[in-house]
Amino acid sequence: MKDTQTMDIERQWVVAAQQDPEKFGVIFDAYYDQILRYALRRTSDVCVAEDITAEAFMKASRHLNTFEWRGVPLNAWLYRIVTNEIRMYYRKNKYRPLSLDELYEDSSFEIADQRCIEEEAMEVQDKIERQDMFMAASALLQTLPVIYQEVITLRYVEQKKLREIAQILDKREGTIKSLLSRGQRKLRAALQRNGHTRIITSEETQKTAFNSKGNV
Amino acid sequence: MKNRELKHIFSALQAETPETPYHRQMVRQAVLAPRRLSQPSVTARFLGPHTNLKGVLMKRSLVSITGFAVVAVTLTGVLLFSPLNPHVSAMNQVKQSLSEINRLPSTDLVTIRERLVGDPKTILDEAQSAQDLTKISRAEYEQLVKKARFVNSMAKTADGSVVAKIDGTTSTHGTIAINQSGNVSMNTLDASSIPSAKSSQDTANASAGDMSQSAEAEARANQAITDLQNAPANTTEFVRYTNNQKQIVVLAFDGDNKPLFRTIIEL
Repeated sequence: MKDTQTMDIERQWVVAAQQDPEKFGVIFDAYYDQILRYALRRTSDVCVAEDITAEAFMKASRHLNTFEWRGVPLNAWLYRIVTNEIRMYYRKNKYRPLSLDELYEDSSFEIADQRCIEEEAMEVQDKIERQDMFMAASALLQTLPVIYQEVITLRYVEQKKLREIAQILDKREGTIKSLLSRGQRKLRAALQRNGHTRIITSEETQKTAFNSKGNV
Repeated sequence: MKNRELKHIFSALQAETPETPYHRQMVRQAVLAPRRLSQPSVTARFLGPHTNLKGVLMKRSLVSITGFAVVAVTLTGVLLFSPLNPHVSAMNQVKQSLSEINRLPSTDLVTIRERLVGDPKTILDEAQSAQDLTKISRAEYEQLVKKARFVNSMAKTADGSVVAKIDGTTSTHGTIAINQSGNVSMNTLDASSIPSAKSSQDTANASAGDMSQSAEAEARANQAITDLQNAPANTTEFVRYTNNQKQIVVLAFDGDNKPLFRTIIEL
């Protein structure tokens, strides 16, 4: 029921944005935080996550006219775009967000305050890196092949349903189940190899600080 | 290994991330900025049904698109470059005349020059119909030039400079040179220093000191200077005509087939 309502709202947003590109702002506002958080959890690098998020939204806005309703929610479509960008990041030595490059070359576009953006990224990165628990868990996850990182993050961190993961990764639910199962086994093995006690200890010690601050 | 450890990992990864309002604002501005990227390209619009969602050509359409392109290019080529095309024919004439005009001796006559604007073919057609001009061969042209009544002259030197000789009265005798950089210089000379370029008839006219002729020659000299100053450095291509063997009319075009000026050589 909730899914149907969400999809109806998303459908209205898409139709509006296809008729008036400025209406894409509603979609952006609804999903920016979610997408950035997902990118950050996958890469643990604020600058990279910001670039990936920007690129994903640029591509989404550019291709929104080609978006068709085939039972895949807008949310899943955005996750698919950002997941592909993250794959490209892991595939290449140097990730280059092409849409952003084009945008910076466009003389008519002026970045409001580049210095503030850079300082903000450094500040956030600093906060993130002070969270040993997050960094250790992220580093551990990144030892797995990318496909397992994807399914595990989407299922256990982003709390997506199997059906949604299947839509995002364009695979069957059965495949997702087996990937999850294998991914868990690999993660356990990695945890044993890399010393799980450190992460557990970190979690115990930082839980108090985390709860009191309300952020990372 | 229990699931408890895995849950620790997942809960660690679920940590909330700090907000990034500046980045959010920048990306929002970029995403919503009206720009050409948000519009489908002309190619994409044309090939819309033949592209997938990423805008990549689908294989099965590739053959038909390539075939269509090849046929279109071939037909265009045939239509544009066929010798039967009157426009092409005129342009071939232009090109043929280029080497001839560059070989002209420095005493060849140039008198009246008018700036041309418009379609080259229209200019050629109008020149032929309105002035009863007839295209002439190189041999005919050289023969006519030899009989020309020299007033002033213009030629290209070996180093690519264009030199115009003004041969009217004492005050306007001289040379005007325009080098390849487009710089113009003028040297006034005495009548005696203008050697054999003048015909006997001109010499007689000049020595008579006819004031009207002097004014006319000066006007022509000024016009020649203006023309030279205004003439682009890449003025290279000419077409010549004659009307009843009284004038030689040279239409000049630049390398891009843009009409430049008309020069009438008095005979």
